[in-house]
Amino acid sequence: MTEQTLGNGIRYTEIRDPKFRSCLLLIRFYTPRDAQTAPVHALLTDLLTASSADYPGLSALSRKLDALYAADFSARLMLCGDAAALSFSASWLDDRFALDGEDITGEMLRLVTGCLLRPHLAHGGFCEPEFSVCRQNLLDDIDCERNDKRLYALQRTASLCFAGEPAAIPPLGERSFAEAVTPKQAYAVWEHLLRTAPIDIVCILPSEKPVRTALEAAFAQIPRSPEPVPLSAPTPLREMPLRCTEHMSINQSKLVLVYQFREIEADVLRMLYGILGGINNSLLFLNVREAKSLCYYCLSSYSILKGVLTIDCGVQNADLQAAEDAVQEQIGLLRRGDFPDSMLREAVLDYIGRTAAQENTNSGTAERIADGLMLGDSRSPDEIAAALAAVTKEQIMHAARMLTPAAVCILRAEEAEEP
Amino acid sequence: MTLTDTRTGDTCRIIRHRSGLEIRVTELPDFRTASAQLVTKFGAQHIRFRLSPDADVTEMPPGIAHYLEHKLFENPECSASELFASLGAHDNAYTDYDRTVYFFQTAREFPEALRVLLDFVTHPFFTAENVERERGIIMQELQEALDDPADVLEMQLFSGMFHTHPVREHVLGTVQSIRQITPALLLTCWQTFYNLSNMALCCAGNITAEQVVQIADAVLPETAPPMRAVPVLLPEPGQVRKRRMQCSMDVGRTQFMIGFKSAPAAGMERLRDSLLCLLVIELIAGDSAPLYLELLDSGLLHDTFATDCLAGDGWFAVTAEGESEDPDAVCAALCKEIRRVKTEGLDAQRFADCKKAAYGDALIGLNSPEAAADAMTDAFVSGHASPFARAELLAELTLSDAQDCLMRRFDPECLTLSVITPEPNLNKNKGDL
Repeated sequence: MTEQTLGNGIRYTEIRDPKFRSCLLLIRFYTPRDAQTAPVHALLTDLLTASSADYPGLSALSRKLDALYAADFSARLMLCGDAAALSFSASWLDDRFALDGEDITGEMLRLVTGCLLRPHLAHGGFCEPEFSVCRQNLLDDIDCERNDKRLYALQRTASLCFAGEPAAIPPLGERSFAEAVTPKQAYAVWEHLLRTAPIDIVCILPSEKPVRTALEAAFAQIPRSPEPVPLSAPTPLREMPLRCTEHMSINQSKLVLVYQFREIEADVLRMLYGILGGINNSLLFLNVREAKSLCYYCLSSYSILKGVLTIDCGVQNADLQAAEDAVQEQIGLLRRGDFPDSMLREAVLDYIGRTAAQENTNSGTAERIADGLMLGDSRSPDEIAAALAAVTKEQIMHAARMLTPAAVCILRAEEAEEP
Repeated sequence: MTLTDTRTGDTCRIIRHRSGLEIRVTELPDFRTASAQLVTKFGAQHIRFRLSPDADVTEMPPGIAHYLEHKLFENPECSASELFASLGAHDNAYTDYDRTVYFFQTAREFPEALRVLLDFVTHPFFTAENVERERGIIMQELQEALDDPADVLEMQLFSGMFHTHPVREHVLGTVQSIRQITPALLLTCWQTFYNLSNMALCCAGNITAEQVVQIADAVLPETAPPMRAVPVLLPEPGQVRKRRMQCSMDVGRTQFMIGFKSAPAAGMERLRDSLLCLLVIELIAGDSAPLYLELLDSGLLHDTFATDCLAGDGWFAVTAEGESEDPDAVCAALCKEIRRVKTEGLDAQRFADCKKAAYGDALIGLNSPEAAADAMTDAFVSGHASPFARAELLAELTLSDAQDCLMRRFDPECLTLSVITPEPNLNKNKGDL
C-alpha cells in the first residue's frame, strides 16, 4: 500500500493486488452541509455520473460504459456526522481481459476526470435535459424515502434527535429546497467543492498502471484552496429522552431507541455494539428475537461522529412495550457485565471475519481504507483486531453505563391495517 | 471431473461423494476467506410432490421450505449459529422458489465450520415448542415483506401471470399457511428433499478439494437412499391469468412491474434463453435505448427501468419495473417498441456493446469466494453443469439468436402489468415522528 499526497488537500492511496480482475477507483469529496446544499449534493452524485462534455446527453455515457465491458461510474452521498461526502466510484475490467486489446484503463481515466472536471455545461450551469431529468429523479427519490419503512423510521428519528443540527436534514434534503435548485446554483456548488473540499482517493489495481500520474495531471488544472471539514459533531446531551410516534398504513410497526454517549473509546464502542446487536449471536438476537420471538430483526448501529447508538426492530403493535422493555434489559445486561466472556472473543472474531470478507472485493477494500482515512484511523485490520482483543469486560460495562437514553420513536401500524 | 474457465484459469472440481452428495470446489488461494454453501433442490415452489413416482400427491402449506430453513438451525444443545459464531464464521441461509441454501464464510477454522454446516443440516431437531416459538419470528418476517413495495409488486405480478404455478405464492407463505405448519410436516419435507442425492456442497476460497472431501467423509453417512420423490406441478396455461393487477400501499410514487410470460425451459436452454432475454430487454428498454430516452424525456418514466429475467422449473418471465404516474402508457410504449423491433430488427452495434458488457460482468462477477460459490450452487440447481457456462455461452450468442429470442419470448399479448399506487391522503400529518 502506498499513501501519498497529490498536493492541495488530496490524499492518494494505491494498492496493487493481482487477485482482482478489475480496477477500482474511489474518490471522496468532503463538504459541510446545510438545508440549501443538501439536495444539491444528492443531485450532483446523479448529474456528474450521467454525462460530461465528452459524453453529452442522457445516453452517450452509458453506451460508452457498456462498450468498455460493463465499466461502472457511479456515486453515492454519505452522511458523516454533520458533514457529507460525495463518493464517486469507477470500476473496470483489467486490460488483460479486453477482447480487442482496448486500453480500458486509459479510456476510463479520461472518462472519470472528464465527468468530474469537464461537466456538460451551458451558460454557466449544467445542461438540459440532464439537469431536469436528474432533478426530477431527486424529487421522486425524496417522495419515495417512505417506501423503505425501516430506513424511513431511522431517518425520521434522526431528524428529531438532531433537530437544529445539519444531521437532522434528510439525506437527500428537503423537497422544497430540491425544487428550487437551478442549473447555475448546482454548478456553483460543484465548483466550490472542487476548489475547497478535502479529497481522498483510493485506487486498487491488479498491476501497475499510470493512474496516479493521470489524476495528478487532471487535478493540477484546478486552482485549489482546501478548507478543513470538521466531521466529529456530537449532538448535545438531552436531559429528558424524546418520545414520539407517527402512524402509518403498514403491517408492522417500527421501534427505534437512541442512546447518547460521550468519550467512549472507538474500540470499546465497537465491542459494545457488536455484543449488543452487531454480531450474529448478539444479546438482541438471542434474547429479543430468539428467546422472546418478538421480532424478525433487532439490530444496533452507532455513529461515533454524532455520539449516538441506535437500536431498531420491527414488531406488532401489541408487542411494542415488551420489545422496548426487552431492549432496555439488554442494555442492563451490558451495564452489569451479565453476558458470557465468550461474547468478547466472538466480537473480535466477527470483526476479523467481516474485514477479511470485505477485502475479497476491491470495492470493499477501498471503502475500508477510505473510512479509515475519514476517521483518522490508519491501523491495519490486524492491528485493530489486536486492540479489540485487549478490550475488557469492565471497559464495556463502564461504557454501557455512560449510555443515556435520548429517544424512543415509533412508526406505528394503524390498527385497521393490522392482520 | 474438473471444469476450467479458459479466460481466467479458474477451475471447478466436481466430485460425487459416496453419500450421494455432489461436491464442487473452486480453489482460490489468494483470498483470505472461504465460503461453503450446502444446497438442496427444495424451495418454495415444491408444495406438491409424490413420495415416489407411483405414490399419491402430497400437498404442503405454502412457506414450508422457508419455515424448515429457519428450524434446521436448532440443535438440542444450542443453535448452529452459536457454534459458527464461536468459530468466527458468518452463517446464514435463504429460501428461493427452487432451492434452500445454507452457507457460511470464514477467515479461519474452515474445517470445523464445515463440520457444523454438514452436521446441522443433516440432523433436524423439531419439537412442538421450538416450532411454535419460530412461528412468531416468521410472522414478523412476513409482515415486514408485506410492507415492502418491491416484494408486493413482484408477488402481485406473479399472481397475475400464473394460474397454478406455486410462484404465485410468496416464498414465506401466508399468515394462514404459516399457521398450518407442524413438526410432522417439517419432518416429512426434510426426509423427502434433504436426501443427499438431491443436494450439493459448493465451496470456494483458500481451501482445497481434498480438505472438503475429508470432512464430508468424516461427517456424512457412507451411503444414502436414492432420491425417489418427484415434484408435481399442475398444468399451467400459456396465457397470463390477468393482464393487470393493482393495489394501494403507503408509497411515495406509483410503481409498476411488467412481466412477459413465455414457455418454460430447463438446463442449458434456460440459461441460454435467460442470457438472450437480458440482452434483448437491455437493447429495448436499457438506459441507452431510444425508448428509455423517449419515456424519460416525456416525463412518463422516472429514473430507470430495472430489467430482469426470472425462470425456474415450469415458469419463465422477463420483467421491467420502474416508477411512473401512468404505468399503462409506459406498458403500451414498451409493447409498441417491441413490435417495431420485431419488424425492423435489433441494433447490431448496440447488441455488440451489450454483449461486451455482459462478458465483462460475467468475468468480474466470479472474482470472490462468495461469488464463485454462488455460481456453483446456481449451476447445480439450474441443471447446467458449469459455473463458467455463462461467459462461454455469451461468447457464442449472435444477433440472429437475439432476434429469434425476441420473437419467442416477448409477446405483448402475454404480459401482466402489476401496479402499486400511493394510498390517498398519504402525506397528511399523522403524528410527531
